[in-house]
Amino acid sequence: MNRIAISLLLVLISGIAVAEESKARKAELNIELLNMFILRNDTDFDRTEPFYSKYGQEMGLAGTFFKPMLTLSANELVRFYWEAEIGLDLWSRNNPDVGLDENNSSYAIGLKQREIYGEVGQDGFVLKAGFQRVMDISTLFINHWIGALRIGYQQDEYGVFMTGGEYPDQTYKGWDFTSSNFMTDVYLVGADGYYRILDELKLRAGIYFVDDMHLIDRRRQITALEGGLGFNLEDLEISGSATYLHGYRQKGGADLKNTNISAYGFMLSGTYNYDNMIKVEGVFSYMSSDDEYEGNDSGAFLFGSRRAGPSLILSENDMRPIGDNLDKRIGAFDGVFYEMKAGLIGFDLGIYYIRNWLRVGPVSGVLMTAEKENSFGSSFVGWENNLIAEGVFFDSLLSVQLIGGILVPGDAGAALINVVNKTEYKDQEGKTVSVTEPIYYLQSGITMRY
Amino acid sequence: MKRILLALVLILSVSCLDSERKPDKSLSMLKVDRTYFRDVHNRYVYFNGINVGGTNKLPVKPIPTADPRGQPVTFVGRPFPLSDADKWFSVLRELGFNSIRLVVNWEAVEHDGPGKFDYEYLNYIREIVKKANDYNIYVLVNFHENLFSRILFVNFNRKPAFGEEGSLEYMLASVFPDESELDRGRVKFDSRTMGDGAPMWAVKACLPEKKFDSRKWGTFKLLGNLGDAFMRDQIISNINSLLGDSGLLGPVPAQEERDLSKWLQDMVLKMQNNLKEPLIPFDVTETTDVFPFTNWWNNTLLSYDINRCYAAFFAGDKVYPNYEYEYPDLSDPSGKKMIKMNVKDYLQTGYVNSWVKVVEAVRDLPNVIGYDLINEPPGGFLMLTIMSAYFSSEFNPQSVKNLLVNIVGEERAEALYRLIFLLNLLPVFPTDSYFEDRYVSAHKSEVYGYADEHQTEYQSWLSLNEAKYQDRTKDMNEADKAAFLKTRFYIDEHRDKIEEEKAEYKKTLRKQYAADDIDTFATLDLNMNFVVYLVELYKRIGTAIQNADPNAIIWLEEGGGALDSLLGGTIGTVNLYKPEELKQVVFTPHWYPDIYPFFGINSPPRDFNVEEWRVQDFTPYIKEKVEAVKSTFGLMPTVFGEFGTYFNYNGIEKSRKSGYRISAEILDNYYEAFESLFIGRLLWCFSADNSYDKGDLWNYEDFSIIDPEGKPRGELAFSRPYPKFLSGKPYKMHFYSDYHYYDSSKGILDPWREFYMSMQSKESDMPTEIFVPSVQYKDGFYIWLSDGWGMFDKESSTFFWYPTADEPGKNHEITIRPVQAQREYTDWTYFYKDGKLLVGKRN
Repeated sequence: MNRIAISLLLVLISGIAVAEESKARKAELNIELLNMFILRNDTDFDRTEPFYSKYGQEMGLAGTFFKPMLTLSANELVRFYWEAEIGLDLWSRNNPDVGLDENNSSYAIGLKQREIYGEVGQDGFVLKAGFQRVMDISTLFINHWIGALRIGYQQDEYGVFMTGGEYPDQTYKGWDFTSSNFMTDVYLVGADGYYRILDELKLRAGIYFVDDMHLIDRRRQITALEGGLGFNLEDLEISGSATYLHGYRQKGGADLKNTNISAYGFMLSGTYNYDNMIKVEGVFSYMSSDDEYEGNDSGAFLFGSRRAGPSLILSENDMRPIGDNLDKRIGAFDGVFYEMKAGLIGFDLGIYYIRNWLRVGPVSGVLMTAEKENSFGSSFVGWENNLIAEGVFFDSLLSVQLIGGILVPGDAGAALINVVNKTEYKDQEGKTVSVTEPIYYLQSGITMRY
Repeated sequence: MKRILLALVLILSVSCLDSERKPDKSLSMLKVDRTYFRDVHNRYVYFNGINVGGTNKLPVKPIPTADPRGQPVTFVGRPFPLSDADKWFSVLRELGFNSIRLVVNWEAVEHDGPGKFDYEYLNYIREIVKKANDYNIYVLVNFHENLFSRILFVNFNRKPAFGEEGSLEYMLASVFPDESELDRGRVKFDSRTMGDGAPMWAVKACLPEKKFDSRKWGTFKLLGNLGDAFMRDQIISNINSLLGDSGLLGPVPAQEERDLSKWLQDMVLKMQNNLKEPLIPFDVTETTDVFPFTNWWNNTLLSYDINRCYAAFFAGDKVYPNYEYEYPDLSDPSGKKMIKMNVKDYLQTGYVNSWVKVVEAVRDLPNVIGYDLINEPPGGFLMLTIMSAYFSSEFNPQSVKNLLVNIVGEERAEALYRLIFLLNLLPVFPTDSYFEDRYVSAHKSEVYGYADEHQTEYQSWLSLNEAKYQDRTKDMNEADKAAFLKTRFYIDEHRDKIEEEKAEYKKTLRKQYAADDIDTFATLDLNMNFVVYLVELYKRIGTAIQNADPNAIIWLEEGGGALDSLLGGTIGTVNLYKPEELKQVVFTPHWYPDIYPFFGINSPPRDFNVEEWRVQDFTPYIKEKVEAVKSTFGLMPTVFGEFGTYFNYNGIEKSRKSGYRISAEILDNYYEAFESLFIGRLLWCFSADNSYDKGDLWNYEDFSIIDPEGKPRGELAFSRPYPKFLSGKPYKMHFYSDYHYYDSSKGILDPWREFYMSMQSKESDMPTEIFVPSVQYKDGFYIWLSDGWGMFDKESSTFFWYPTADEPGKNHEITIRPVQAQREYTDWTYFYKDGKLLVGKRN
């Protein structure tokens, strides 16, 4: 199946266009090819050499990421969409000359099916089914690519939607279809909508329900109540959203009784565009924390792992997510969500100078925990400062990005991120060794679009 | 509106959340399930325990330095006063022990006489067990004994006046009273070797001919013979033989300036003349034949008195059919009715009744895990059999040799016979010349005159016998020759009287040794079929206990067989089988490697270097113990009831200075073996009264893991992570302590202090409890879990792990590692340090 898809893509890329202009059927192929380069002096804040240190402590990679996005419109009503990711394939490891069979798969070019869905829409009704990106109002709780069915009705003034889907979990089942059933899955159902109060002001609300049955006798049910407001003027956009999570975990307590889940989060974001010359964007996020105990009710927010923000390391890397963002790493992954036992307080701010093809400017971000008892007595995770320069050419078909920066950690960052030593220590001579050394980095990307 | 919403959110948040929840830590009664212990939550239970305590073999009164026969007797306060119980149980819990083998003994319960029980002691035991429960410590009650009773003891001096430590002269001089005290007219010894277990009235029943009130009781029996010139010469001759036999008793030292023989003779005179009442001579009825061996257990092989006691206990109806005594009928309300019975029933009834009293005191307590019926029941009756054969053959040593050949084979028989002979284990029956000389000596005033008064008969005798003595008299002068011949004439004329005296001597000797009370064939049967007697005893005690406590778990030990020991094995009674009547049974063997002082008296501790123990693997020996009885004993749990090490190798001072390094290495070898086999273990021992000079106060054993200042020693070897309870079937485990041999590889850090455990499919929702000792993880520790979550309870140093994966066949794993310089830690679940927690991932 994968080889057929790659072959299809290669035929497409080689220039043989498959674009019929017809009222009934249309195919549109977009491609994003990113060649990326990253260099950092370390992956954590501790310069202590590991036992075997000949590999050094720097982190660096050069890789290629290819994202084809194919839209097939059967007619004006029905649309099929397929998005895949081939990569991030590292130049130092992945070899397109090697096949995808089991023995060599780690060296071969990797393929990930990102989104595959069909969409039907008419007169405001919309139905979307398949693997798709599903997000809640806040984008903090549910922000996943999953199999889902979303139906709704939308107009300019209002819209209402219902979503139902499943999170992937391979417990017990493997790839054998006949041993699959619904008894040990993770479900999502939800309803959300919007209402335009004013032209500029939009109210959003939603309710979601996650039923996690993947552990026998350890069921988890979470209800999320969400609300948000968006204010949109020509040059100014402000939005805010809040999420309250309530639920329980079966036998989650140290006394084997059920435990309650009660958490909340909110996000505020805004962009301001001045005279098409200066752009300011800022994002503030808050996620609630838990107490220092295990085995009792939990107040820790369940984070979907993607948090908007222009920072590079404190939030998701916008160039291409490589999974090392600190906001995620200070949480504990449970298979679906990142449980934020220490909570999270994050603020990113970017100020750019924009001129035709150029965008340049500083970005600064701060990340903290909300409960220092769960981050070794300190709340400060890190302070990131970058300088971004981006050039866009040929009608956006080519963009070149260059970012340089420094991430200054705090004690909480060292405790939560460091791999060897989490707190300062005394060496053999009795000297105190710091484990909160900054990370310096350089990142560049060349993106070509079709 | 917004404010109301926010307030609502906050109220909901606050009201929905609770404070810390704790798991249920209370202990529940256990049951045996195949080869496992299970608690009421269906968890598997693993024992990491310790024997409490080494000093329990001795009563509180009389005090350890006093005469053991003193009255009154009380064991209340052993292992420690109730007022100290919180302190010591807290220490034991902190060191990680979840169980104790509580050492009690028969004497502690029934010391005043048959049917007279010490209820104050029984109440004390109950309080101790209850207190242990407060600290989540299980209790196995053990009726302990060694060498049958502490009434069977022998005195000696630790600092004798002669010889270099470890030398034969030193050993021999040790059995004499202190010389300077003798010069002051006093008898003083500063040490003794003794047994423990049975009360005095029981010993009296086994040895009815003994004079337990004698002032000489406890004096080494050979001293009693030194008052007799013939015996003295015999003994000195044997000593000189031993001196030339260095392989048997250790190195032969340089010649002493003082001649040993001369010193012995001086001491004999002092013991006879310096005291108000002479210490010597005395016969064997006034003392025991126990040897002051540092390896006290050799007395099990070589002491006739101890053999007799055990024979009476196990098979008195056969070996001593005429010994009968009365035991009170406990069902009689007046307390006056007595039941006459054979000595075996007399002893076993007392033993069983004492057990039942203990069981009644503690059976309702949830932390009692069973009853270990008898400690190391000895199955060797070699000395009894040899003596019996010797008496039967009218004191013919050849009969002993023949018997030994039949029992142990020709090769071993010669060595064993020599040992028996040189140690004067057999009562020496003098030659005819002894009796002749004795008679002559007693009648010396009439010896020479007799020939003169009976000239005719003398001349007639001369004509027949003079030639016979030609060789002996050829170098004598006439006067000496005449005296000699007249003496010989006197002897021949009084031959009948001399024979009468000889017969009387024999009779007396037989009486002193109760020779006529023994059935020789029964002793042979006891040697060959000890397992039958042992299982009968187990059935009797076990049934009585299970009648008193239907939930009782019976712990059975193998017997120590003399034949097994002599044949070079390390295993006990291999054909041990389970009594059908007993419901829940556990096999509880003991094992010790070669750590004991060399054979001898007052032997110093062994000298070892670290390399001798660093890489030793005890696993094959432990496994052999378990495998040996599998085919006969059947399916049941195995928990080692005793193992351990001295703490005074190379002398206590050197040992302390080294941080008890060698002891720690030995302990580590044990623990690694138990962990690799996932077998429970109970360490010997804890003694609250440990002393640098006297060890655990009993026979100079120094096994206590607590030193005299109450501090643990070698704890990095024994205070280790382990699972107290498992939610699934135990599978694998290891812990690499500081004493583990790390076969390092380039670029890979040694898995220093790494703990790993895996268990099979989850069978209980209750948590798996892992003890995480603070002494191993001072700088914090990481935990990796295959699934589930957990919480660490600082008070009990326990990690409560709640595995969540439920599918059959799932292997649940936990790994714990300390903070180690230059180690990279990834993919962990928890990190704990200084009371703080970091969560790495949720499984």
